[in-house]
Amino acid sequence: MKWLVSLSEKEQRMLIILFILLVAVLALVGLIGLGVKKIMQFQSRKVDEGMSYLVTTKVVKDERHFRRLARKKNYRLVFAQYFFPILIIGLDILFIFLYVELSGDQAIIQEMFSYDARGVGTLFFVFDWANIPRATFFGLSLPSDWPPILNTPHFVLAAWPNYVFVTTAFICAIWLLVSTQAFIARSWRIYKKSRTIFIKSLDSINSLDMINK
Amino acid sequence: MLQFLKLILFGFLYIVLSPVIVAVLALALAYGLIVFVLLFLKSIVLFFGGRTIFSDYPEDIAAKIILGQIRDSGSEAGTVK
Repeated sequence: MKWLVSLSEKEQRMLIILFILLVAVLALVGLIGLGVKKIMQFQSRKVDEGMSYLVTTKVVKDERHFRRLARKKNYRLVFAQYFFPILIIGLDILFIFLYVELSGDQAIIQEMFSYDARGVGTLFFVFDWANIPRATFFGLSLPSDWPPILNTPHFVLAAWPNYVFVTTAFICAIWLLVSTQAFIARSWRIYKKSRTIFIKSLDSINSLDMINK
Repeated sequence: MLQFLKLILFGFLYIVLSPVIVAVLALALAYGLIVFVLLFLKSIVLFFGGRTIFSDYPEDIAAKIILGQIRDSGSEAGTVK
């Protein structure tokens, strides 16, 4: 603890800020993780919808049968949920392809993410991370300030094909990821439930009760 | 306080496990895309046969018949009363 006392006031303040930042980041990640977990629990309910009446009517009587049928139904749901994002991505690619073919403007593809031409980068703050100000702290070179700004958000009319293409592709990518998350959630529930539904347990059986009856 | 500590611990765990989570997500996405392509081809074949991949499985039909019978016997018992 002696080293803590020997620190200058500036260093102590910096240490406290770093600690608070670390705790805030960990808490935020923990919250996001809990949120994702809750969403996955909600998504996995589709398995119950499709399989519960098959188990209660005893059409499905064993673990292997349950898992096989549930997997088939899961694949159907994957197909249904992937269909629209993949279709939209396909149309999106067709759109940019047709635009380049009709206008003969190949450069728009190369400028897709640029901030100083006709890219989507024009819509965002762009920082010069390579030249971020640094300070030495305990022998470590750490960032000490925000980096210089290279671009502030501004609309470029000539960049509209890239705006449309990248935005649509981004939305579809998120859509696909959420569908994949649902796929994982359902697969996990199928596996877990198949192990517990048809379990033959001696714990609930009392043979003396049966004899007395 | 304990809840908050748990949250921080989970946050740390998620950060440590994030490469595994991303890998699982990527593998599931690849697997899902393969499933999608195969079912898409199957749906095209079934489409020209006048069928769809979303039709009921034999197990679904059997379960619906059983549920119908239970419902009918229930309503009959209701009318007897």
